[in-house]
Amino acid sequence: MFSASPKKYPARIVLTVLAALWLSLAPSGCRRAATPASTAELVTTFNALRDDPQRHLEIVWLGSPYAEGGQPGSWLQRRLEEQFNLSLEVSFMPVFSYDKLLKLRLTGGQIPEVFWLRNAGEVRRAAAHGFITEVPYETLAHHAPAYLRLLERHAPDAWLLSLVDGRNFGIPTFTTTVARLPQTGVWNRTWLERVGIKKTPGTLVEMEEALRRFRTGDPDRDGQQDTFGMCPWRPGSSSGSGTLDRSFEEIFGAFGVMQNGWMLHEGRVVWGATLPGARLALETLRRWYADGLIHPDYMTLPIGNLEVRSQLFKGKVGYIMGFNLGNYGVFEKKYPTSLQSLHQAIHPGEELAPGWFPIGPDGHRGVRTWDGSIGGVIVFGPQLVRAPEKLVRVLAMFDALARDPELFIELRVGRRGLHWDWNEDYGIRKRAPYDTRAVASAELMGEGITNQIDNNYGYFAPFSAPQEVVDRHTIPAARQFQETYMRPEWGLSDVLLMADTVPSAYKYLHRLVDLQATTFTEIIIGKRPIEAFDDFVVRWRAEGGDMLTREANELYLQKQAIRARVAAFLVAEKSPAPPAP
Amino acid sequence: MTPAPSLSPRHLTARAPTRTFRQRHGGLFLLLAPALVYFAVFHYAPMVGLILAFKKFISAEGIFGSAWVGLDNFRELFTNPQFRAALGNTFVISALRLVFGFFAPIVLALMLNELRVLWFKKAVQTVTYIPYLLSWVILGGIFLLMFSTTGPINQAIAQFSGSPVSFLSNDFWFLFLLIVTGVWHSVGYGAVIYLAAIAGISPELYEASTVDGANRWHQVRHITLPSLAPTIVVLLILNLGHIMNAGFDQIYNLYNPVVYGVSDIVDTYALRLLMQLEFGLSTATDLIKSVIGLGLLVAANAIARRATNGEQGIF
Repeated sequence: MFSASPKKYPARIVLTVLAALWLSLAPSGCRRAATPASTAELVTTFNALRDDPQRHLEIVWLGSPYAEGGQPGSWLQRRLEEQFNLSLEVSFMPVFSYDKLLKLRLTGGQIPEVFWLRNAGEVRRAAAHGFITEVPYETLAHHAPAYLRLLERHAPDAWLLSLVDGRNFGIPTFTTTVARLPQTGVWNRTWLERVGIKKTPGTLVEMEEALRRFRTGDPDRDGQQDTFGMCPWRPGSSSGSGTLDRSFEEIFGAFGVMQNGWMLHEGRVVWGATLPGARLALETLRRWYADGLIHPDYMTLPIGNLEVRSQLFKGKVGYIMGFNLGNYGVFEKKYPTSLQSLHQAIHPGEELAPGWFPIGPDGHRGVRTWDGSIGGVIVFGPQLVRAPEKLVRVLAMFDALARDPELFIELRVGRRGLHWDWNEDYGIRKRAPYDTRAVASAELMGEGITNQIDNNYGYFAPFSAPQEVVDRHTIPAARQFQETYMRPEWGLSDVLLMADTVPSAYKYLHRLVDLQATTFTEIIIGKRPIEAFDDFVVRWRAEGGDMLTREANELYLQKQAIRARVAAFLVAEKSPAPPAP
Repeated sequence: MTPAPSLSPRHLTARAPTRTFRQRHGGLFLLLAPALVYFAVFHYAPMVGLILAFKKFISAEGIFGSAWVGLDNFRELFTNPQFRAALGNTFVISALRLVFGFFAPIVLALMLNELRVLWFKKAVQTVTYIPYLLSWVILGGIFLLMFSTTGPINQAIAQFSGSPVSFLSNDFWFLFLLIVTGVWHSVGYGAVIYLAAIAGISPELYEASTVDGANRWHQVRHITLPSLAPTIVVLLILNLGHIMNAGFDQIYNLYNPVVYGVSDIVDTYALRLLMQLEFGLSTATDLIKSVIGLGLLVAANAIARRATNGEQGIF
């Protein structure tokens, strides 16, 4: 076996080992999928099939990452498996690293049969790499007509989330409350009173005055000038995941600008941050920062609600704006983990108050909302082209969820009387032992924690309940809060739903978002003059912005066509309308 | 006494080849095998993937099935202003690290070597080594708090001069912070290597120099440093090879949008590409890094050999 020659022996052994390893490892990188089928072929394959409920199916399922603490074999899973004759292989990934871990899993060749993608950019990338299969509109209209009608009613533009080169690559989801209603800022009411302000500021001028008094009027009564006015969401993206800049949304809104999305301006689709209103907002913020009205470290604090909240708790600032931080539950002492309760645990007696979106000099106000969907697309691995019965079963499940609100609610928060009771003060209230976080998370896949049926984060039911079902499960006090502080007309929505629905966004948007975050922050903290804004607009356009704007305008025209197409397929299906909930 | 068997030199040389190579060195190769396998599996086999730098990678088509695009990926990188900026930043940060960071462990090792109280020497060594064991995720959080405009460092500055320093948002101070905390983080680890080299210097040299009337300073200059020179040269060459690694962990945990301009390095840039599943571009980025690193390593080695007439250098 071995040569007796001392010279050849080591070289041969090393080469043999290397060659063997290369040969054994290299094929793992050269996976080759079957040539993707054409839309027409897929329609034929998928639509010819009828769901056979008697047939037991096994599906590898990776639901949305918001099922924190979820466990395999939970009550929700058993419920679903029983109803739809399934065996599910479920897995969970932490919400903040979902995008990264999922990519590792996909590129490693372990593609789940059904999984969740965050937004249009992720769908486009997954489609480009062959990780997901096309699901033609015809197929969805054929197998899930009730769901498509719900989508048409709640988020007609959501089709932009799953659109890749004119074809559809998944089931877009919709969201009711969170997507429709703008979220307010939070004031420290006690501080306002201490500095002599009776009414929560309603205009930009009043807001500036209040923040100024927070800085100079010693609202924490410690005899030192150690307080600032406000702390916004940290600018920029934290992890290279393309999170949009949400800092100072309400201030930009006061100048009629949504700085992180596509707006209609003089009949054309434009990027909000390049509008003249953004410059005016920056001038205001620059002055505020110089005067200490803004937390001096706002741009270097860790990103996230926790940090924004902690600045309020520490008594550094008297106004904060976070993400989903300004809704009914936040200000209620009856919820032990509400912002109000947590704040009072540190500062007994101090009251928080919801803010008004400040009205700017030209009467503008508002913050970003979404036209019915905050993202979330259910997609299917390419292997389902060879196992179309699984895809058909999942669509049947979606349709059943859309037709039957009771089933939907069970698959979100569990069974009434077993997991929860209705309470006029609290709404859905968990029964013991599901009122403890650990049990609720394990059995109810994280849904037990939030009790919400109006977001699109469900692990198995990844869309929102229809509006009327949400209304029926909203307690009067919460509805009143929404009607007072979170009026839909104060929401600024993206005409293309989200910034990254534009085809070339994956290539340019991230660096443009970085450029914007850097320039805007530098202007606000006084590192660069306000004229840097004009340079920013020039650079933004030159470094991909012009291209994106052109595509955005094309997409704007296209979205009406998609809507019409889906409607036509639904009419062609002539399926019975879902019963009124 | 039995007479010793006759073992002529001729006898030895004639016999050696007849004993198989396997019998003579098999054991050694067995010992070497795990290391060879490790390098083959984790360092050489993955190099197949380098062809991605010249391809437009589509996962479904695999590494070999994806289409060749020639130098398109490189062209795209070098026409991208962000990449060029990242490349420049990487050089600047690395050069600063080398200038300020390379000699710090040598100085620390020399000073530790002069300590005669053993417990104190051990204590200093431990204290300077500990930071190396802490992850930048933790350190990042600590430094962000310490150096914020309302943090303890600025509070102390306020006691003296009054005006706070924006360590985290000013380009100069941010670089300063990167370098200083970087040195602090790794100085203890670096010093261990030099201390080991110092321990290997023959005590006779010091004794002889004492007889000749040398003081401590003379000994450091004429015995310790010259004896350390080979270690210093080897580490310098190796460091140059790593110059394109400007400290991803540290920067990723400390930077913010205001200092992207000076702190966005090739690695942070490549991470963003990877997150967008741009495998071709990000492989090209890493290939550029490796080629530059290799070039510097070879050049540094050549210079070291020429300067010492071929006595020093690693190959």
